[in-house]
Amino acid sequence: MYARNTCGTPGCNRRALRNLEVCGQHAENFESINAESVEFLETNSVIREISVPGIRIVDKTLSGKQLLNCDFSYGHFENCSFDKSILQFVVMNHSVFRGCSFKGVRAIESIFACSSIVDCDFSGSDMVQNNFNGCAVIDSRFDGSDMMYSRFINADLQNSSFIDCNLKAVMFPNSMLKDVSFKYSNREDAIFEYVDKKRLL
Amino acid sequence: MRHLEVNDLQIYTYFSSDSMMNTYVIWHRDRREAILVDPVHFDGGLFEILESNALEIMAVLVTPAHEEDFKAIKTIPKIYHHVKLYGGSDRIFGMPLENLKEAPRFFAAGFAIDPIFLPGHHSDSLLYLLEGLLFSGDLLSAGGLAMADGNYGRRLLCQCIKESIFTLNEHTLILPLFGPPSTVGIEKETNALLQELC
Repeated sequence: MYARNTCGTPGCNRRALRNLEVCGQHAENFESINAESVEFLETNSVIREISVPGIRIVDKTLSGKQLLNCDFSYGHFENCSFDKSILQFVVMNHSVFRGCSFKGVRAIESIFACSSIVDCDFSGSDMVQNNFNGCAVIDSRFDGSDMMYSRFINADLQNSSFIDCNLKAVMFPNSMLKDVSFKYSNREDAIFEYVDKKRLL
Repeated sequence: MRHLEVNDLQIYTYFSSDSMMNTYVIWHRDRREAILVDPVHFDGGLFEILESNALEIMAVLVTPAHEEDFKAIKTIPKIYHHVKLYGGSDRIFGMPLENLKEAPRFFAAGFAIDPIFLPGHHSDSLLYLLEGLLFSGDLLSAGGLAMADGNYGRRLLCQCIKESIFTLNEHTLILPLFGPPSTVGIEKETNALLQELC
């Protein structure tokens, strides 16, 4: 059974660690779990089915990795490089990404929703059908990327750029866009409003 | 097409760029019987997934039983003779459909599946909960909701969502017919249509 349980600590809504009843913040030995997990990520090129909600990775180079069906929700990623990595069905909702580089990644059906993405670079990437709903995207770049079918609904985008991107069916309804550049992109193929205020399509 | 492994559960998401719809192929790692959820087109790509994994389709689950969306259902029984069709009505393309509107948990291809009847938008909308994954069809997607038209339909939809979806674990993964995956918690937090309805 693929149980994605909630932390058993009263008032905590984070996802519990696999085989434990609590999340990373409430696990007594989470620092050692985190260190082992980061080491595993650094030393393996194909990472499949790793589930470490609440993971904290700072100043690491994780370029050229294949991350398949991993759960890093509620994580913290700072000054990390994921350049040219493949992210396939990676769940990273409610995370903090600060100063991270995702240049040339191939991210498919991954969940970044409700995350804070600050000063991150997704340039030159294939970002097909990813969920960025509810994200705060600040000072970040998606230039030269294929964003097809990805969703930024109810997001807050500031001082960021989607220059020369494929925006086919990319959805932005209910989002706040401030100083966001879509230069040279097919902005007309993106969706910015709900149809009749009650439907996406 | 994307391969996802969830413990013993194997899933391929087969995305049709023509219709922008997702079809899901599900099977148990140690078995060769497969389930298809919302088969849109039965083309070479889908057939290759099935053949390369030596899979035989034993069950087809449709969310709304819309013949115009799921033309693959016409082809599948001609190739896979033991396939059983499941949905929220009695027939599709003139073939019998096991109507699960009032049905409890059932088993297919080695998995326990809980059908969730969600009327309001369509009269035959079914969602399927399988091993902690919610196949939500066209009813609920990341930031989207197929809204009912009338007041009664909206109230009914709201009540059913509160009883059937909001009671699920916040971290339950949602795999929709359209768009990227999500979770129940994310939708509660960010889906303006859902918030407006309920």
